[in-house]
Amino acid sequence: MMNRHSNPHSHDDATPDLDGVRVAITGGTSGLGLALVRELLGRGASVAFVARGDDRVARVERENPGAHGIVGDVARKEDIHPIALQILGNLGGLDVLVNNASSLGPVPLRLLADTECEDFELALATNLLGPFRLTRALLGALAASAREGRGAVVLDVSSDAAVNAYPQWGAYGASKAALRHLDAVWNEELGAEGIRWLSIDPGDMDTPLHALAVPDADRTTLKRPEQAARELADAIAAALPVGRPQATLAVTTAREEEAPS
Amino acid sequence: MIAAGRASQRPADAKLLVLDRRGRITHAPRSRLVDYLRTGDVVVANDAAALPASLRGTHLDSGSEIEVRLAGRRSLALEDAPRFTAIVFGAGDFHQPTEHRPRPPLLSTGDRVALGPLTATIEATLDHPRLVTLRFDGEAATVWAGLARHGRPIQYAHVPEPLELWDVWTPIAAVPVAFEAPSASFALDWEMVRELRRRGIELATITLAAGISSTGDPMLDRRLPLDEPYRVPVVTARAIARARANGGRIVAVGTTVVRALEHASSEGTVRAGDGIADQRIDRDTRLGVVDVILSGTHEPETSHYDVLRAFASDPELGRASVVLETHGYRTHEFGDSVLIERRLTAGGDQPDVEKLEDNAMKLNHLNLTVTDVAKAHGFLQKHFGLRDMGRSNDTMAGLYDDDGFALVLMKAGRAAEVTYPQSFHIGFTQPSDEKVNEINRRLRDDGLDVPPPGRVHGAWGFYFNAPGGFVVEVACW
Repeated sequence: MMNRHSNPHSHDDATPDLDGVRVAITGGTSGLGLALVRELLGRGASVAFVARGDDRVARVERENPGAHGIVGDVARKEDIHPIALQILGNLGGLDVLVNNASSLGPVPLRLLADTECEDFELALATNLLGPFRLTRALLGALAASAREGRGAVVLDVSSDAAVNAYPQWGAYGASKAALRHLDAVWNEELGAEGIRWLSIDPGDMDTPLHALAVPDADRTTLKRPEQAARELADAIAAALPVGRPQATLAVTTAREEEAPS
Repeated sequence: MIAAGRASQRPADAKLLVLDRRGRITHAPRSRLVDYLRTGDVVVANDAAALPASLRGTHLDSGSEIEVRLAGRRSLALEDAPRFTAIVFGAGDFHQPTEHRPRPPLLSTGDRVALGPLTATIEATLDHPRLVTLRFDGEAATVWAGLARHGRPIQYAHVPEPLELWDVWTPIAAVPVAFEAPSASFALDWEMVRELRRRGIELATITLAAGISSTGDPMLDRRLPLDEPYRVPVVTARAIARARANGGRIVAVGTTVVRALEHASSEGTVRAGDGIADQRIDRDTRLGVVDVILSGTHEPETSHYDVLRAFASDPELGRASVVLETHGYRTHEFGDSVLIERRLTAGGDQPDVEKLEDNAMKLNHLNLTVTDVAKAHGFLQKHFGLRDMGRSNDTMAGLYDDDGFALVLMKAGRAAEVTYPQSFHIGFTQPSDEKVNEINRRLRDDGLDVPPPGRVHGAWGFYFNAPGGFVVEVACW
């Protein structure tokens, strides 16, 4: 299980410790992604978010002044560079990329043996190839940011299904396991360029994705996405170069017994 | 040269021609570029990403089909995104060579154009029927979304397949402000970046909104490059200052980097910050910062080729062109590369050269008669670093020294022997006795009949009979 960062000093009022940091978030109109858009804006970041639906993107943009909405599907190869173009054009560069958009694969969840290849492909396209392609398209910008001392972070939203074998989570789990491995290799190969890859499991959250996966879950037992967003924002702040205000954060170990997220 | 017609940034067989400061030419696989760099050098590349700057649409006032090619902007400021300098073509697309493209309809200030989801107003017509400034409707975000959806990379007829953005974004592309790719950076990949780091060679970047390379209209082409805004990050200015202080070289990846760095420099110091490069770089430019350029292979009479003339003399570049041609190098943006080191005497390297040429007389040519042109020619290159002028044959060959002194060797007619008077000789004065000894050793190792050095007229040196039938003196005075 991956390390988790949490800020012992964090409170409900967001702290501006990401002032001027340029962040792009995929899957930014619902669940954890939307909570992150709000959290990061609250901390002073410049935020661009990506999602598939025109209407939803326009609504989130309206409700969160200052956020740049971009319509696109990270699972589609043809969309990647247009998305990257708009991220870099609107923000003028990039310090942090959050690959958050995820696909469960088959819905409702199926045993691997019952999983259609097309559903598996969708999980891989969204959860693995999409982050790989988008990261690659934005690598020049991230490296430039690192060279200039601003720091550069790629946060890939992971899951405990990336490390544990849960029945019916095969497509999703395999794609997240591969993404986690990709992050390890990225760090190995390009760590010297000053770019850091974080693979973080936010835990089981009360999100539309979770509702699709576990429709009858007791929502009161689930983590609020706002809480997870705070933790991810803390982790981002901790991974950026020191000298930024309130960037000193404690590191705690994630729970091993979490249910799939 | 052959036009590279496939959109492959780093083909496995990409070639590199190296023209060093002494005018010597070598060939290498381009992936071995790092072997021609040294610890302490700084490699500076342009991290601009190419915009999808070709937009097809309609000139609403006439109803005519047009293609707009965005070609310039007045600054790198984010809020300046909706306003561009643009070149307008009539109907058709890149499959037709630009010089054969029909003209656009008559364009007037205030005219409206529709380009896919974007609409724009012609704010001003510049002093050419194809050149305008264009202001898109809406905010920057609207323009970005419209460009992302409708724009295509600018391309030319030599690449028949439509280009995608991923074809034209270099591996280090970071800021989408270029109208065409700064294609010299195609040579870089992350393996090379790693290798540079391993060898203590710093990679730094500038951002310059590279304009378009050709319009097909001779009058417009003469105006290229248009003014280009650029940004030099503080870390880049510092890296350059560090390298220069420590004797490292500044290696520019592409002509755009030369333009930005030379514009941002005064007296060898590069200023960090924003500027607008409005100067031409050509044979009259005295380079103040850049020592080496990595570039694509360019054809004479283009503004890119002119930049190379600031680094090497016309005869040297001419010779390089012949070699590029005969060795099957490919040209244009997806073609092979050249690495040219600033010539010892070129540009601003030696500020007194011009004064000397105006006021002083200089012995700079000698014609020697020899028994064997090829042998003498080879010998002088091998042991005394003279370089071939090119076009040598068995009856005549030319050599330059590092000051441009021209030594011509000519075959001695029908006579088998050349008989010079006893005291006749040519000499190579050395800076130290050790150097004299070293040359002596090398000549002996090469099997020449050379007496050991000794004291002659107060100097440390020696005389010997060189291949071709003349006497050479090597001495330190």
